[in-house]
Amino acid sequence: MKNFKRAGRKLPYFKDNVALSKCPIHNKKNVLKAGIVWAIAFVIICCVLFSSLAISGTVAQTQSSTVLVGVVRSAADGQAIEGVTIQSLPSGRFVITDKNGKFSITRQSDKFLKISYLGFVTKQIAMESVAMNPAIMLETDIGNLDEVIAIGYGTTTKRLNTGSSGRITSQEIGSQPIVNVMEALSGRIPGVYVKMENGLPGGAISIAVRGRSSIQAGTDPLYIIDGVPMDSSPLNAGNADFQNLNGLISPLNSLSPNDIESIEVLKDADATAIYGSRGANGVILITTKSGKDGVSKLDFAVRTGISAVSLMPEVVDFDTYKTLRYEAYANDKVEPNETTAPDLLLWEQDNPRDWGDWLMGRKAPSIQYNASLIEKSDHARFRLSLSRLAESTVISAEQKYEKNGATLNYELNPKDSKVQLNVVGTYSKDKNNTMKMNSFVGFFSYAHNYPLIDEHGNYNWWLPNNPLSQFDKIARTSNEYLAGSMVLTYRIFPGLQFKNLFGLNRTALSMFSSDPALSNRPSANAEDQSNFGNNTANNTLIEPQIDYAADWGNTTFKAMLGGTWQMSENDGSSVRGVGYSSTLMMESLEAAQRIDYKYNNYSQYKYLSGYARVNLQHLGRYVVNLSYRRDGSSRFGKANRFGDFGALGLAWIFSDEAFLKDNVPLISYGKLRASYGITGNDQIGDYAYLTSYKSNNLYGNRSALIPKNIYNDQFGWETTRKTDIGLELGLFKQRLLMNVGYFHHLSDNQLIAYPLPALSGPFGSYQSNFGGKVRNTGLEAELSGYIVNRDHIKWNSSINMTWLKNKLLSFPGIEKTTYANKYEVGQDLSIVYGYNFLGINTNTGIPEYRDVNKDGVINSPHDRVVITKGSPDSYGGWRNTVEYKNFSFDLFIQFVEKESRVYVFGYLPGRTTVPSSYALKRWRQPGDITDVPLATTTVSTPQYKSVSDMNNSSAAVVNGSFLRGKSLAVQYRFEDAWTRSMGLKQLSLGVSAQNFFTLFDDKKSRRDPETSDWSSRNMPLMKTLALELKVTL
Amino acid sequence: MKYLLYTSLLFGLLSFYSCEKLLNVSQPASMVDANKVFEDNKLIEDALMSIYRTVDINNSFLPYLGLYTDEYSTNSQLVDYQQYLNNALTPETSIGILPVWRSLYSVIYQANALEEGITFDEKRLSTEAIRRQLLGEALFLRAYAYFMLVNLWGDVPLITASDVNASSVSKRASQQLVYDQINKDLASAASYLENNDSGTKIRTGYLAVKSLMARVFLYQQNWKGAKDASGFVIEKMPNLSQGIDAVFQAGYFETILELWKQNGVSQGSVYIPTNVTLSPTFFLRNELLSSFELDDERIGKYFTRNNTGSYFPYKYKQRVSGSIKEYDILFRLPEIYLINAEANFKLNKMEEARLVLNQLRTRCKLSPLAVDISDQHLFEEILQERYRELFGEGGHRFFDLKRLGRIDERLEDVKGNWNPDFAVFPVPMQEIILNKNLDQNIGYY
Repeated sequence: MKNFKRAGRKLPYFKDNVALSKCPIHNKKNVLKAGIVWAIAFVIICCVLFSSLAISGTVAQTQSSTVLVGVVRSAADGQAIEGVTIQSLPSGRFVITDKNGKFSITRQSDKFLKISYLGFVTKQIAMESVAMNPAIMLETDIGNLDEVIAIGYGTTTKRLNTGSSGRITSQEIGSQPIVNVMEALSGRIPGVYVKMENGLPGGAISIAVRGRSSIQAGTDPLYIIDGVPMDSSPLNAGNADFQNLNGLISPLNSLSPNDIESIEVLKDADATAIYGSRGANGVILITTKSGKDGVSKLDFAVRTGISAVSLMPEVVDFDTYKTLRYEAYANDKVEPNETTAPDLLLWEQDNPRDWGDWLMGRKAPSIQYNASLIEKSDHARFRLSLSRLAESTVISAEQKYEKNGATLNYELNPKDSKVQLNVVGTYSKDKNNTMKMNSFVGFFSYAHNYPLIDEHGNYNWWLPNNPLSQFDKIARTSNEYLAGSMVLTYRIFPGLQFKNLFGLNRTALSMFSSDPALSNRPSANAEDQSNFGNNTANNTLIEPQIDYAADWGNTTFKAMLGGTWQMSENDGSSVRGVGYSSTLMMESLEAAQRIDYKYNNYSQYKYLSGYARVNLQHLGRYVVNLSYRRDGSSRFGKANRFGDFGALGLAWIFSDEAFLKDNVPLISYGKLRASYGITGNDQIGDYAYLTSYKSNNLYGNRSALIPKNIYNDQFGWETTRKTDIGLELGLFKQRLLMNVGYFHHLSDNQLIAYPLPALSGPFGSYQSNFGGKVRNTGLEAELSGYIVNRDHIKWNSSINMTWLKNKLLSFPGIEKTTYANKYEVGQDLSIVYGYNFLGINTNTGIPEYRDVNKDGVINSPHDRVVITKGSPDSYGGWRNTVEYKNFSFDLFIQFVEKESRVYVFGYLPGRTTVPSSYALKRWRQPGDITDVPLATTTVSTPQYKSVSDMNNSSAAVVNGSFLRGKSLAVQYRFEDAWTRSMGLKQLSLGVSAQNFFTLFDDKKSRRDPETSDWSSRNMPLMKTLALELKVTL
Repeated sequence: MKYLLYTSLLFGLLSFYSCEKLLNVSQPASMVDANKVFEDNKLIEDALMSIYRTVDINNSFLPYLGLYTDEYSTNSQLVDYQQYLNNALTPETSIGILPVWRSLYSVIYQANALEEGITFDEKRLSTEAIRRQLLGEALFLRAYAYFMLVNLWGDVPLITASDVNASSVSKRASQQLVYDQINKDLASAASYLENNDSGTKIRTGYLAVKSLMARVFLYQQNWKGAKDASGFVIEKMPNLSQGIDAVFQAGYFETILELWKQNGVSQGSVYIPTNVTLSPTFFLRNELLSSFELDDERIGKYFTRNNTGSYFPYKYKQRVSGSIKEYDILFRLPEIYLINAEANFKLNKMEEARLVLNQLRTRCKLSPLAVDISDQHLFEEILQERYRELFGEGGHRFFDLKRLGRIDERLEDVKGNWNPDFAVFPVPMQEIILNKNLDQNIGYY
C-alpha cells in the first residue's frame, strides 16, 4: 500500500498547460495533474494486481489435480514435433512440447486442449480422449486457414476474419537485403502501393493503402509497432537546410528487418474502424519477433552484399552529341563561339568522360550481422537480438549508411498463474553520411568533356553546378530510436481478462550540414555556412483493455472494451552559422562569425479514445463483428474534438454448410465477407484551431506578434465510409486458394486550408472542413496454389493484383479556391496539367500544341489540359517458392501499370546537355515525320521556347508501367546429420538478389520508372547481390 | 467481490475517455494565445509593433509607383516593371499591387483585432494611459492604411471588425464612407494621443496624427482643417533645417514618423547600383530632372549619378547595413509646410502661402519667391515644390496628380498612351477569385 503515496507527488517535468480557447482559463494545471494522478494510480493498480496474483497463483497450484501427459507428432511422417503450444481450455494456460514432442499439463477444471503449431492445422480435443490416447497427430496445413493473424487490439484467424487485411511474415522480409522494412511490402499485398522514392540506402518510401482519400490532409497509414503508434512523418521535414540526397528520412528506417515477425496491413472498415479517426488511410501493424514459435537457440547470420544502380541512364556518345550540337547551331542560324559553345570549341575533345560511371558507377559493398538468442523455460521466454548494418553508396565510399540496434522481448507466463507479462525494448541508432543537395543523378547529362576544374585550378562554373564541388557539401544525420512497451495481462477468471499496455517511443534526430562558399558558383555570392539541428519526437501511450470470451454451445461470444490515452511531443531547434575563416572549422558553431538563422519548434498532440468490439460466431460459420470507437484529438477545436467511428463486418463460411460440404467436394473452403463502416483522418498540423499570435521578428528592438490562426473550433475529422465485399475460396483440398475483394471508399468532410482573401488579414487560409468528396474504388485479387506438392518438392505460386480508381466526386466552390489549378471534379486527385502536344510540324520541325482558348498564343494556364495522372491504374506481384530437398528458392516479381512523365530535356537534341539516343529520331528536313523536334540550342530563337514547352506537355507522357524482378533468394540447408556432427543445430547458405531486372518502356528515357519522373531525378533503385550464412547453435 | 472491485476500478479508468481535459495541450513558446496577449501590457504592445512592421510599402512598392507616374523610368525588361512603366497593369501583375493590398489589409486586420481586444474588457489593461496610447496608435495606423487604399484603388471594402466570415465576402464601400472612417479614426486617435509625445519617431505621437489629418483634409479640400492641423505641427516642431545632408537619416529632427528597419537600410538598397559602372534600375525622368532649378541644393543630395550618367534616387544613401541607420519615413516636416502653403493659398492667404513656401526654398539654397508673384504662378510653384521635394515618397506624386485633376493631361503628355481608367489600380486577381462580392475596377479585366 505504500505505493499509493507516490500518487500525490508532482512530476516536475510536465510543462504547464496552456488553455486553448477564448473562454477564460480555469485551473488547467489541476486538469493535467488529474491526468497524471490517473496514470500513476493506474500503474499502481497494475502493481497491486500483479502482486496479488502471485498469491492467487500459488493458491491455484495447490488445487491441481491430475496431470495429463501426451506426445505430438506430424501426421505426415510421424516425427515428433518440438515447440508445439498446448493450451488448456477454457483457462488458457499453456505448455510447450519438448524435443521428443512430449508435454505434461495439469488438468484442473479444464476440458479441452488446443494444440497449435505454425504450418499445421490447429486441433482442439477433449482431455478425456488424450488421457485415453496420448499420441496426437497434427495435419500439415497447406492453406494456413487457422494461422493466427493480428487485427486491431486482438487476433483472429484467416478463417474467421470478417475484415480485409494482408500480411507478410519474417519469411518474406528476412530474405531481402533491405534497410527499411517497408520496402519488403512492395507489390506483396493487394491494395497496398509502395513507391520507393529513392534508391539510396535509407531513402524515402511512400505507402498508399487503397488510394488517396484526402485532398489536402495527410494520407499516411497509421503505423503501430507492438501496439504502440509511431509517428511516421519524416524526421527532417520542413527544414530545407537538412534535406539531403536521400530526401525525407522515414522513422521506420530505425526498425531492423530481421526483428520483424510480421507486418499486417488492415484495409477495410471492419479492420480499421477500431482505430477510428486514424484508420481512414489504412493501418499497418508491425509485430516484432518474440520467440513464440521455436525453441531455445542462438542464431547468427552474416550477409554481405554488393550493390550497383539497377538502371544506368543512357546517353549518346560524344561524337553523336557534337553532331547534334552543330546541327542545332545550323538550325538556329547562329555561329557557335567559345562563349556559347565551349564544349565544341574550347574544352578538350579527347578522352570523353562517362558521367554515369563517374557519378554512380561504383559497386557499393554492404555487410549485415544479426545475432539472436531465444531462451525458454516453463514460465518465461525471452529473445535478444543484435544487429548491425553498414552500407556505402554507389557515389562514393565516404557516403554511407550505418545502423546498429538491439531488441529484447521478454514474456513471463508462470504456469497456472493468472498473470502474463510481455515486455519489448528496442534501441537503434543509424548514421547517414550524404550530400546536401537534392539531385546528383542529373549530372549524367553533362557534356562528355565538361571540365570539372578550370585552367586556374578552380571549379569550373560554365554551367551553374559542378558535380565535383557537390562533394564539399556535407549532410550528416544520425537518428536514435528507443521504444519500450509493457503488456500486463491478468486473467480474472476463465474467459475474462484484463490487460494494460504501457508504451513509449522516442526518436532523436541530429543533423548537420555544411555548404562551403567555394562549392557554389561565384555569382551566387554564397558564404560558408553550416547548419546544426536536432529534432526529437516522444510518444507515450496508456491502453487498458478488457477481453471477454464465452462459449455458449454452438455460439462463441467475444467482447473487448478498451481505452487509449496518447501524448506526442515534438521538439526541435536549428541554427545556421555563417562565415568561417576556414572550411576546416565548419563543423564548429563557435567558429562561425555570426548566426544568421535560428529556429525552434515545439508541438504537443494528445489523443484519447474508448473502443469496443463484439464478435459472435455461430456454428463456426456465421460471424458477426461489430466495432466502435470514440476518439478525441487535440488537433481539433473544442466544439469538434470527439468523433464516433464504427463498423459492422459479416462473414459466412458457406463451405461448411451441409449442402456444399457433401455435394461439392471441389470446394474445401469458401467464405463470403462484407463490411461497412466509418473511419477518420486527423493528419493536419497541430493547433490549427487556435486564435493565436506568433512571433513576427522585431520592431524597434521589441518583439512583434502577429495573428497566426483564425479561431475555428468547428473543424473536425475527415471521414471515410468504407464498403468492402470479398469472396475467399479454397479448392482441391486447399491446394488452390482464391481471394477476390471489391472496395468502395467515400471520403468527405475534407480537411483543407480554405483560402481567404488578403482582405481578411494575414492568414491566406484557414483550416476548415469542406464538403468535397473523394471516392476510391478497386478490385483486389489473390490466387495462390501448389503447382507441385510432393514430399520432396513443393512449388507454390501466388499472384496478386489490384485495380483501382480515384475520383474527386465533388468540390463545391472549387473555382473560388487555388485548388482549381490542381484538381478537377470528376478526375483523379493526381491529375497533371500541361499543353496538349499535337506533334512536330513536318515542315519546320517545331512542336505544336493545341491552342485551347484560340488566342494564337500558347500560354499557361489558359491552354493547359489534363494530360495524365500520377496514380497507378493497377499493380501487383507474383511470388514463386520452390522447396526441393535442402534447397529453397523464392522469387518475387513486382509489376505496376501507370502512366508517367519523362524528363523531355533528357532527349532533346542539340542542347548543352547530352540526350538519350531517342534524340536521333529528330526532325532534320521538311517531310520528316517524328515526335522529336529539330535540334536547337539558342534561347533567343523562336523554336527554342516551343521546344522547351514539350516538357510541360503531353509529349512527356509515356507508358510508365514496369515489371521488376524484386527479390530472389536461394538457400541451401545443410543436412541435419552433418550439421549435428559439427555441433550445430542448423547451418544454411543463401544467395539473394534484389531489383535484378526491370522491364519498361525505356526508349525515350532509361531512368528508373519508380524513383524518377518529369521533375525529380532521384537515384535509381539498387540492384543488390548478397551472400548469407546462417548458423543456429 | 475482489473481481467486482477490480472491474469497477477499470471501468472507472475507462471513463476518463470522455474527459476533454485530458486533451489539453501545451503550446510552443513562439505562439501565444490571443487572450493571453490582451491580458499582458507587454504582449499587446508587441502586437502593436507587428502592425508597424506590416506597413511595408517603401521598397516593395514606391519604386514602381515612380515608374507609373512621371518620376522614374527603367531600362529593365522585366515584364512587371514594363507594365508599371507603360501604365499597363493587369489584375495578375505580381509585384507591387498584391503585396501592398495584402500588407495594408493586414494592417487593418491587426488594428481591428487590437481594437477589439483592448475594448473587449477595459479592465484587463493595467492603466488607462496605456490603453489610450495603444488604441490611438492602432487607429492611426488603420486610418493610414485606408488612406493609401482609397487613393490607390478608389472604392475599397471597409472592414472595421476582425470577423473573417464577414470580411471575406465584403463589398466595396464608397470613397466617401472610407474617408468618413479615416476622419473618425483620426479624431479618436487624436483624442487618445493628445499631447502625448512618444519620445521616438518610430512610434505614432500626437504630431503624426495631426500630420495625417492635415494630409487627409488637404485631399478632401477642407482647407481650413488642413491649415490648422499643419499649422499646429509646424508650431510644435523645430524650424526647418538649413542643409539637407542628413534628411533621411534615422531620427532626423524634421522627421515626424518613420518605420524602424532592423538592418537600418531603406530604399538605398533598391536604387543605388552595387558599383559605379552599373546602370541603375530606376532612374529619374527628364521631366523630374528639369523641374529642379540649377542651384538647387537637392541636386546631388536627393538624386545623383554614377559613371553611367543616369540619375538615380539618392535620398536614402545606405545601400547596405552600416553605422548610419535609415528608416522608412512616412511623415516629415517639409510635407507639412507644403500642405500649409497650399491650404493658405486656397484660403486666399497668398502672402502666408508664399512665406511658408519660401522657407522651403531657402532650405535648399533657392532664392525666395518675390512678393509680386502672380497667384497662378505661386500655386504652380507650390505644386512644383511638392514634385521636387517629395518625389519617390509615400505615393505623393500619383495622389497629387489625381486630387488636382491633372493626371490625364500630365501622363498623356509624358507617356502618350494614358488611359484615364488607370488612375486607379486593378484589384489583384486573387482577391476577386476568392471574394465573389468584389468587382474589378473599370478598365481592367
